[in-house]
Amino acid sequence: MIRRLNQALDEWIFSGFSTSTEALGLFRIVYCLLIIFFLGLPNFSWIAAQPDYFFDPRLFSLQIAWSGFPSVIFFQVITVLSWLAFAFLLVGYHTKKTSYILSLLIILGKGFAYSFGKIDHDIFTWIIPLIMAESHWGESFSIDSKNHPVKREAKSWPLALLALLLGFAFFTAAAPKMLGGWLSPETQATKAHLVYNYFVVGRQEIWSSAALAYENKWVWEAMDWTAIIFELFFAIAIFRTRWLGLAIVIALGFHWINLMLFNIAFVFNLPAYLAFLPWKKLAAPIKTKVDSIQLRISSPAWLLGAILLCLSMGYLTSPWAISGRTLQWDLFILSGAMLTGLIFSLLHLHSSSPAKA
Amino acid sequence: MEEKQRVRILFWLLIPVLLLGFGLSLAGLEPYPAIVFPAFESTGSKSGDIEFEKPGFFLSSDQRDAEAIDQALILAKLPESFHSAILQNRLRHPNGSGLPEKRMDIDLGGRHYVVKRTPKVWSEKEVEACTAYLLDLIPQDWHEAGLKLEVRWYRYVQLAGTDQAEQKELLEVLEWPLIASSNLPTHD
Repeated sequence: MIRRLNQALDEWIFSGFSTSTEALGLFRIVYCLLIIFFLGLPNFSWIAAQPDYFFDPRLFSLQIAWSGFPSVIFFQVITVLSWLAFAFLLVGYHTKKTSYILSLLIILGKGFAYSFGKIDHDIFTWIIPLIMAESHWGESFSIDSKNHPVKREAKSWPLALLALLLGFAFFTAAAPKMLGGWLSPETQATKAHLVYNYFVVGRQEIWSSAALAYENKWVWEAMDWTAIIFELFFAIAIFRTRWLGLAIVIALGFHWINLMLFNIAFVFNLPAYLAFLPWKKLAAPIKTKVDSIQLRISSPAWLLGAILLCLSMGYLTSPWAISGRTLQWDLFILSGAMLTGLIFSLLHLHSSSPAKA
Repeated sequence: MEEKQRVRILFWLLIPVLLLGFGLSLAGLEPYPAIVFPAFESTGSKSGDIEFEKPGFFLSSDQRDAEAIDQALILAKLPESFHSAILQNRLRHPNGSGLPEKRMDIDLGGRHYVVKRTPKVWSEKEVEACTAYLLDLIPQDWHEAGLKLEVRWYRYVQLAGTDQAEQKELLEVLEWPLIASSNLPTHD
């Protein structure tokens, strides 16, 4: 029994997610572009302006070693270093080292940001480089591939690891809801959270006002149940790539509805979902074209261009650190992601349907 | 060691780490970093009326009676997602209901462990720095003797079938003197 379980796990970890260096390379580039242009590069400079009265680090965090917020220089240095690391990752320069450094820099900075008593749960956006560091995602479409023409094989187990972490995270969202009484018909938890978000946090846009006035108890109860069923489904779906694809499409719809009702834009899961697009199929036809473009421009020019791009975008999007992205911008991102998910699902269904006689 | 074996060990080691992070989160002691999603475990009341607590911000001075100000003015330098945490954890009366103690009891190997997080006690220097920070956020025309910020917490009930809420009783008040009063006794 245990032996069979081990075999099944081995199969899932090492062969469950088929990939290639080109697929991983393309994912690496799109991941960086998603952060640079849509979600915003990390910025920690604002933290230094806050009084130590607000400093209350998590009991189990590195920041417990500090007695207050470090100086502005400290935050500016980790901000700019993380922008540079994104530039290096984008063009695949010292990719493995950069991946580790990037995630660790951001986790360090975010640890201070979350010393105000609130964690934003955007961890998946920032740990992707850490998870993918060993996958050889810098072996294609990169400066590394030009410098070291002997290619190493792509490793797919980091994708299994990412899936496991995602599934576990969804389980951690479902379990407390069940324990807390979300399934009881006496309480309408979704409605209660809507009330809190609307009146206390002041999220009063799009559908929130109309939803608040909607009184059908059973519809609200159904929403409580739907949330838990979906989160549990995601936790199980990670073990079958087809189910995972379906779970991601449902998740995108779920986040979209959350944005419309609660004005909560949970866009920080998108980079993790992005990892499970069929990159292998997408990368194959563009490989020759990308390689020829890459050869025409020298490596230092690529690197310099990426650095300039990241520094300028980091500077331009720095107001997002306080004001956040606009709701319309997040709606645009989530709608685009949902559309992409639907298109890929339909293409997948079409390609896997039996040929007509 | 063979690479596959190292990867297997990594996956097995991760399980207790993930469960520990989740266990601490359930006890209200979420570590960072941790692989945990927000649970939103609270369910609201069972009575049918949905209640919530919300603060109102007021300024007063020796010359002027209390006047309501916009909450956004005080929270202007903080990201929106942190606002409710700052309100609950930093802008409630020290003896109010906003800062409950968090503890977790763990029985392990026949021993009993308690992980406890008690509300932070601030030093005089930290409070002074925060006073300067708050003063900086308040418009200059309010900078006068006896300036005081009041955070009044009220209970509200949502009016069923509407997007309106009714203000109920005052729960607690945090008073934060920002500029000393001119009426204070002087020492000759």
